[in-house]
Amino acid sequence: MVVRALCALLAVTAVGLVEWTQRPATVVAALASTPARSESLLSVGLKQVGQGTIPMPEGALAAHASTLLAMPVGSASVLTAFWFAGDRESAPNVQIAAAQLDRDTQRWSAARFVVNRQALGAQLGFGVRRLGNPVAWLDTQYRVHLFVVATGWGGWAASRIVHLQQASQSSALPDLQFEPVRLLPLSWWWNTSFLVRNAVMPLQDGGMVLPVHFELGIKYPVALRFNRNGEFAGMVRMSQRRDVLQPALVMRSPSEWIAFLREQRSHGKVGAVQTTDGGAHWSDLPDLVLDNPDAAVAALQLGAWEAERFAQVKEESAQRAGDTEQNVLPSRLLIPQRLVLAHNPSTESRIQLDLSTSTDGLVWQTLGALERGAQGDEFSYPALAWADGSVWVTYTQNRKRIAWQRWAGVPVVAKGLP
Amino acid sequence: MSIPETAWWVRMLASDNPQLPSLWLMQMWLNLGWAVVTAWLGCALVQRLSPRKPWIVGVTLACALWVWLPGPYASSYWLGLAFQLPSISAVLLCGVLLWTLAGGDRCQTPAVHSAQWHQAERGCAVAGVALSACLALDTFALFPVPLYAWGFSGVAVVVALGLSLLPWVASRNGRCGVMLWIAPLAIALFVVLRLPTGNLWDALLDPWLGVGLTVYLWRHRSCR
Repeated sequence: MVVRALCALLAVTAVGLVEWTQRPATVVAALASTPARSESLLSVGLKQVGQGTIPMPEGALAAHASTLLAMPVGSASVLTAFWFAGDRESAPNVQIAAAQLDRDTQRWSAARFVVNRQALGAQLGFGVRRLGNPVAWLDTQYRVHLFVVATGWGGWAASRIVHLQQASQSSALPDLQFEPVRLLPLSWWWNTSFLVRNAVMPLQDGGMVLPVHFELGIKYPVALRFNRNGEFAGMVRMSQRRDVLQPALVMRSPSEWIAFLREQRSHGKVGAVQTTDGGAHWSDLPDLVLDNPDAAVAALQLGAWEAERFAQVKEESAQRAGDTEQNVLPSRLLIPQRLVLAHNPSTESRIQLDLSTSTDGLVWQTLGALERGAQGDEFSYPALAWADGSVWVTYTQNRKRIAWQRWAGVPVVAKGLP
Repeated sequence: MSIPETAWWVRMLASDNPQLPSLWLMQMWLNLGWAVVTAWLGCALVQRLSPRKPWIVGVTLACALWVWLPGPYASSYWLGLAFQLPSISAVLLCGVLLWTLAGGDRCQTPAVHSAQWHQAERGCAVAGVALSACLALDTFALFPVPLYAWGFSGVAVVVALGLSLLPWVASRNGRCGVMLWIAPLAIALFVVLRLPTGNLWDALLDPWLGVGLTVYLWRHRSCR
């Protein structure tokens, strides 16, 4: 028995060594970076400067769940919008559609389908019953990653999240093609029932955090971390509650993040959770005062958190002799960090859609109405992005089309500053 | 913030650095795994209905080959849609059961060992059922710790391997039934291949195996 015990110990040690060598030698803490580099936006307000609808793919009768991806500065496009379209939500012919906003003409391109469930099933090796919400991300090599809800046997509660990656050389819409990386392994229960809805939060290491949620019977949010190459790097449950979903994640500082949630209950409010250690641990916050009719919200932060980066920026500026940047440092430091939230301000319906702003994520002021509809109208599933010096919003109009709006800042000079 | 060299135990405990299998390997496992599982199911079913060997061989082969048909014509296309990939343990278990049905158990265990082995097998089944219950609770956020996420850590692999080898260490003369080697072998294959998903629990146990172990324990509840 002693010999067997020694052999077992040897085997366990060998496996332990293999495991140890396969793990990265360093642990990089998750520190958020602001997706909206809005240094020029010294604003007290935002106002709408444009609106319209995004062209639909030919023959698509319904559209829902848009998401926005800000394209790199050198790209011919400002934004790429992805959404699902087909005969109706959860129809067999639903596919993921995309359109791009041209940088020069400021017009949306014709939409085309970029993900098809039959082709996806063939690539994965097993069937995909329906397609749903997409979320896009651009990695450090400017490759587009797409996370798409794909259902198994059942409805949305049987959903899984497929991770796709740009397969084409170019991210221009006519060329844009995706190939699956894998299904994200998120649950032991036949890998159901996780869905993605809201935009990612970028990290300073080039990776990102993807907020997702579980929705089989109960609802709870989960944060998924990805490294700079887009590889899955772990999951953390974000709430102890069982009635909140679709987290919209923003940073208040590199390690202090807050997520706003859809509440699935009557007379709901916008829920909130926070972390102060870069997503390692999460705690529930009291509901916001904002009403929520069991509807998705979208959030975005504006302005770099300059206080955290002051020393770094100052050092970089000092190294550049004669750099005038040094002169504007104090004003850059004082740029307020602002959060923007798109939400339905009602407990009953999705007839209205508002844009609100906050400095701390807890106290909110309405910036303006995105939509005020008539009886029977529905404006839902907003998405937000910062691009080309503006806040861009897309949302679903009556489950038939995707509308967009552009909101630009009103520049002011802060009191007492040069 | 980068730490130049992270302590070894932090690296082993961390669940935020999973090693995941590539898509082509998962596709291979999808077909291979379901081929073994469905072949055993087909074999077991037809043996109950007809003892004629050609039938048994034919159905078993047909089930095993059915997964390799293209696209929606393959059984694995639909099994994957509903149940994803089978665990390594389930595939090994079905392989052993298939071998047994095919007559490969003729040189079975000496009777003197069988009582002890069956007791150890029941112990393993109890552990499997308990683990599957904990994982099911964790899926529905009813388990106090993030058990599924721990399956991405290195320490989970080491601890699971150590526990799975206990029946062999404690056995008389170092001889134990083939069933008791399934878990250690599954973990060893997981370390090398990371199948089926990169999470240890998915390699050790899938929900159908949890159900199967529960049925096994139910049927053997009075065999003491």
